[in-house]
Amino acid sequence: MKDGNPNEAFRSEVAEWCEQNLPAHIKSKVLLRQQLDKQDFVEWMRIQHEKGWLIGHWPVEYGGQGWSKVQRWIYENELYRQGSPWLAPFGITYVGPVIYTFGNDEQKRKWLPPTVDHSIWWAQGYSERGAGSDLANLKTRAVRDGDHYVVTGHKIWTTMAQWADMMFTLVRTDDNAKPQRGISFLLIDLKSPGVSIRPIRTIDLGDDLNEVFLDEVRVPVEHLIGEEGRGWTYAKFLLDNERLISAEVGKAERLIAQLKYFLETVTDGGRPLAQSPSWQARYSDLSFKIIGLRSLCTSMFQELDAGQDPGLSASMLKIASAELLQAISSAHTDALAVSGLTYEDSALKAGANGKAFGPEGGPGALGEYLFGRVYSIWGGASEVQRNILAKAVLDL
Amino acid sequence: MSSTMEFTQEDRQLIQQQVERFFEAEYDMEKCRADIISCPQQAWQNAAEAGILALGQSPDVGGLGGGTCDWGMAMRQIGSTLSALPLLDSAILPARLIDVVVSGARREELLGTICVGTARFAWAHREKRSGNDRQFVESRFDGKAISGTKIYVIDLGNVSDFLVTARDDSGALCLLLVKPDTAGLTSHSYRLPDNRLAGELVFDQVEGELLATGCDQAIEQVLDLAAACAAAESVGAAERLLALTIDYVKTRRQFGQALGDFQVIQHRLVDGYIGLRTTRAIIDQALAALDNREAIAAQLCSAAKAQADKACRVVGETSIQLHGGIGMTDECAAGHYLKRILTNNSRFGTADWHLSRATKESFNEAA
Repeated sequence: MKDGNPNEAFRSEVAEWCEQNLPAHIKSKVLLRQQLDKQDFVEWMRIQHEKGWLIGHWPVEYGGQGWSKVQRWIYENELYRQGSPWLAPFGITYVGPVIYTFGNDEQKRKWLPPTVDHSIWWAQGYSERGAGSDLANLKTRAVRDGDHYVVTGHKIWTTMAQWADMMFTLVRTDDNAKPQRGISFLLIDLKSPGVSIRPIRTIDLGDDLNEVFLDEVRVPVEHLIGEEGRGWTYAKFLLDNERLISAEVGKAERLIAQLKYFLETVTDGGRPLAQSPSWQARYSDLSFKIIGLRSLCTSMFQELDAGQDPGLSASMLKIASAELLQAISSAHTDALAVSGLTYEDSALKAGANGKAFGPEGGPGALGEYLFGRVYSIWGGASEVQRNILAKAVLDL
Repeated sequence: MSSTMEFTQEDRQLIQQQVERFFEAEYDMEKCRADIISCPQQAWQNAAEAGILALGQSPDVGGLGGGTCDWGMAMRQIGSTLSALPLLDSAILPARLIDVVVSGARREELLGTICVGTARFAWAHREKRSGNDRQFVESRFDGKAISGTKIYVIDLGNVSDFLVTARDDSGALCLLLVKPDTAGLTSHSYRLPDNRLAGELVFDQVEGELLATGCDQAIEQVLDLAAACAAAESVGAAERLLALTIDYVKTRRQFGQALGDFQVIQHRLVDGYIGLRTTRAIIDQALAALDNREAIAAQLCSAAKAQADKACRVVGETSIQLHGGIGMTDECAAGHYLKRILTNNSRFGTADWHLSRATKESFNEAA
């Protein structure tokens, strides 16, 4: 890195700040993949907001720093590299920008401040049972009744809905329009009558995913963002916003550091795995893959800076990022397998004194492997991303 | 070594049908979703009454005859139904080990108790630092008592006797029989990825019955068999999971068509099928070679385990991917099958270890 590279200067400023300000009790939970409370997330969000960086990617007029996409990407990845919890994007990266871009002044005044200070926790109500990667197929209906919409339907895979106050929701307001035209973007108060939330126990025995049932829920028309029937456009705006920064290089770096720890700790016949030539080669292969993903991101951000929008070709970042995280997690499980796998949930709760087995962080790494299957499923499965690339980029 | 009694094709089919019926009758995905799955004593007795525990054992001790391929067939059924019956750890491995290293009346007596289910042994060999190394045993036997720690003892709460390996003062590998309530023996259990229980056993001057000394070669043979049996269990699990996934993609519709109509999805399933069919063929070869005491048996067992670990894991991960969001839930069977496969990955030699074992043989390196 050349001296005076502004990105590098920014990265090291973020790194130094994070080292000093990420609370140790939160970082430790992340590194061991122990259960985090809502309070942990909110505490860390507020520390970032005090510094002015939580919404650094927002325009200055809405309280942000007007960061470029590459800056936001550097910021998030530096935090993740050090063991920051997930910067739950629902408020600050998803609905916030939709509101300040497409909402009216009253909506901006009402929703932006509590979104930023996290006195409102947002959930995202997109997927349905029959509409996963094929979102245009959604069935939840909103029928106008005076100055309300009456919403009935069923949303699924709603992350952290158990903590949420509000859900930004895609609903069908017009059955006769083309599937994508009849969709609107509605903010639903989850404390309203007719809303019920049911946790989904996931493969890693976590319960952060939920089903949200909406039974004739009355939603004031002021909760419609932008125009009726244009919800699909807003959701796509949000996706386009996200695609470039979806590559999780920072997390990959944290996970490969953990792999190194496992290889040094787990012994095979008394010798650490780190001394095995096949493990050394596998480790290097993974570290080259990280270099590959980081280089790809850098290259795309340079294109963007030069005024060429990489557009849909950024889908490849989501594919590559998912495959990289899954490959490192697979290596975790293969290394841990030598010492014997356990999935003891007492080790996954901070403060529990259950006697863990194998190297510290082992059960958490196994949980990450299991839950990490989702990276190639959510937000448009990798198969769908490949179809996008084939059509939009390779022109097939 | 059990004397092999030749079965006709018809006998074999009959036995297989009986074994299938037994495990299918017990099959219940709801059980897999419990926090812990274990095998109560009654289920062990039921297996004995159905003849499952007498499979592969010689008629002179009350066994059904046959050979290791019967064990492979039963292990596939266990994988297919995600049964918690510890057939491998509590019957197959103890039976083979006792058969090889114990002789005379004691051999007949011990093997007989396995066939009828009155004994439920557990194999306590692996240690904290041993990893894949089969001969790395730090537990000591001073001529009177054992001291050391063993891990990965499956379902240890229901065991009648532990079969424990330890080294004596001359460094020879000994096999001992220890009752769970013997003074100085403590244990605690933890959950495996597939919700079965395993435990750590801590021996502090624990007395036991010395069954044999100089068991190094026997341990090699038994662990080759164990690797092939674990491979068979994983293949049974992956075959069932592949079938469930094929059913799912026929019914799940996205973008106006069944998922199974997309060629990219068909190809992934076909690759899974080829991988499993090949693995099963290697396992059959490996088990037959064990029965016939062919020199190539060890290499085939390594090939079977390495291939099974990889092919079954691919099928497990692919199945979750093709189930989409629903594949991420505890409710879906896919995750439970992947977890059984994952657990087996960590037992009786990882794929990487079996590969490097073969590498050493190919290039004449000292192990």
